[in-house]
Amino acid sequence: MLASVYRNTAAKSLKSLVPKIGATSAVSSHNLVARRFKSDDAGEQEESRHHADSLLNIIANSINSQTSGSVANEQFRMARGNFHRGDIYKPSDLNDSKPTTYASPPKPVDQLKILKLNPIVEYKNATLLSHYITPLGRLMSREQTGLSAKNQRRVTKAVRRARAMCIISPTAKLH
Amino acid sequence: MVFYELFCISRTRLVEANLKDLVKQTSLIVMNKGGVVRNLKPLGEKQLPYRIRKHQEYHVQGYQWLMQFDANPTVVNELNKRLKVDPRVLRHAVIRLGSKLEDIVASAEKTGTRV
Repeated sequence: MLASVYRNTAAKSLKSLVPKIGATSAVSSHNLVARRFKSDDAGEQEESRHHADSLLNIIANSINSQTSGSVANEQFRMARGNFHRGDIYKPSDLNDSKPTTYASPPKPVDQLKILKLNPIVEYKNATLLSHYITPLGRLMSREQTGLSAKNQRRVTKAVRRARAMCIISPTAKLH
Repeated sequence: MVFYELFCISRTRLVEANLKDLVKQTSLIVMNKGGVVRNLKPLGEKQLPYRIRKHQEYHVQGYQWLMQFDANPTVVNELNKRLKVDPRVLRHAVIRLGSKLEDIVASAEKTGTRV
């Protein structure tokens, strides 16, 4: 029950953080012969970069909270019978005559689902994919990423594609 | 027509005219077969994450660029054949983005199409 409350609040807080982006057309045809490579209007690029930065921050924070630090995680850690190195306990924690209170671990939140990102399309986005690989460049397990099964498969595909296309190193996390 | 994206890593230190020629030729392959080139994007010269061996040479840097286009699947085969042989190209991949323009545009805007 408590776990579900925290799951919902986590999801809601992620949703509220996503900036609302107005729909503008980003695709147009170019005159090949006469035209050099030219970037878009400088203002639009800046704005899109801010949005991109905030999204990446959301993802990074979310992954960090899956492993430690979030309130639901603390509840699970503090449940009677869950002893961890460095914990402070009181004598009543060692009293086996009282029934143990089992707190279920918090249900992980799938950030890509909430942000509505398709990882396969983002295979070029080394910064985004770097959140899902370890410092040694290995893919994180689903327990660590907190993604749904579908998105975990897609992220795996995207990472392997990026490795093959020389966008990501297979042995390090560079971005 | 299906939406495709060609992600290409070409050699660094190409003369500008040479690079333009490469991009123009790849675009013409698509256009001559009745395709439409939607977008050409330079992604910059970058240090590659690992060493590449291509055309009997080792490469440590590459110039990345992107071409988004609509075309038939047969055109994609033709494109792959040509790019494999071209000495200016180190790596290339044609990725199918999808069939709806709205989805592709929305996704690109969200992440700022960063590399």
